[in-house]
Amino acid sequence: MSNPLGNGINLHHLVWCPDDFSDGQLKSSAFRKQDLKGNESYISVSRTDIIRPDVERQTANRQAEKANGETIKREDAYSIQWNCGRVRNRKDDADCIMFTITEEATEENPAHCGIRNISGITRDSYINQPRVALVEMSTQPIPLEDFLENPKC
Amino acid sequence: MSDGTVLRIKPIITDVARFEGKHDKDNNPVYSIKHQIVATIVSTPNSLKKKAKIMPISNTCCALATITITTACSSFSSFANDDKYITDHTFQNSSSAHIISFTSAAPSLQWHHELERQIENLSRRQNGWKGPKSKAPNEDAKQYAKKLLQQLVIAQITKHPMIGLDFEGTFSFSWFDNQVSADLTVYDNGTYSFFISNKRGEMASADEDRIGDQLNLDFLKILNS
Repeated sequence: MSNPLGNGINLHHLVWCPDDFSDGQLKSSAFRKQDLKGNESYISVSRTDIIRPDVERQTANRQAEKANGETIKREDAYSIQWNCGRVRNRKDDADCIMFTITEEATEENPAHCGIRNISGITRDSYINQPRVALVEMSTQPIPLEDFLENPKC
Repeated sequence: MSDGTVLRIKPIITDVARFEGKHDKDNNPVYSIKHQIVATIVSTPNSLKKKAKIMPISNTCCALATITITTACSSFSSFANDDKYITDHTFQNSSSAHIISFTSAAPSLQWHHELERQIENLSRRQNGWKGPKSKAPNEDAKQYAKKLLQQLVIAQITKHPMIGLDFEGTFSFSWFDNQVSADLTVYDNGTYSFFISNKRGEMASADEDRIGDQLNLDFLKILNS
């Protein structure tokens, strides 16, 4: 049984595609729009207090292997992080809470969580907004292996 | 040019015809030459530059110009239109004694070609490029992304975007710096959506604005803030 997902906990998100960066800066295209349209979709993250490095490495490798026509080496994978409290408190242009964070633990990855858009709004320009918010709230991308050396910091 | 501007001009002849029965004062036949030129403004003195203004978008790329041949003249002039930041030039073509006049838009920005190259590179992605169900961009998506890029150049935005390819096969233009955050998506039906905000708390968003129409003024205002 893990601790409650408090506001002090950080969330790790794997960014493995080189196309999602430009000179070390994360692009908004790193986030799939469908994942931000609410309902059952969400941005997949892992809480860092109970993260399992081996699972993260496997995920990075598996995602790269699935990609068609792209050779993505594991060392190209990066980690960005968000603070739970910041994500939960983020408001949209109508001053409404934008996200919730849900625990999506599986047997393979007990640290698995999801960032969900709870606005219920799915029009295109609204989906542009959480993408902006996620980039603004994220830490600078760091190589996955650097992050996994000490993920709880 | 005498005002310090340096132009690089390459004419491309598309048609030549001789006027039947017409001659110049030296009894030479008079020809009509249809052509286009590629005109690059290499450098412009700072004293001639003016603050960027939003201008109507045409189909003409900023680095291209169309010329027409008129009658003989020996004058040469250069001026900036106060309203449009468009520069008109006339000069004498010494070999044919014809006057060529053309209109060119503002100087292209350094990043234009690099970003256009990025669009080309991303356009080579295939279905599944980012995992199952990820889509490759189609030709329309690429062309509209390039067109929007041209509009941004012509609008003389001061901050250049990052170009990204979405999982869904659409192109995204994003800006993130100390002042402005923005995400703009180009769709293959010729429209775009965006959300933009700045540190002063100004925000704007829009759906289904058409590429080719004047760029959204709220977007430009916040982007250049």
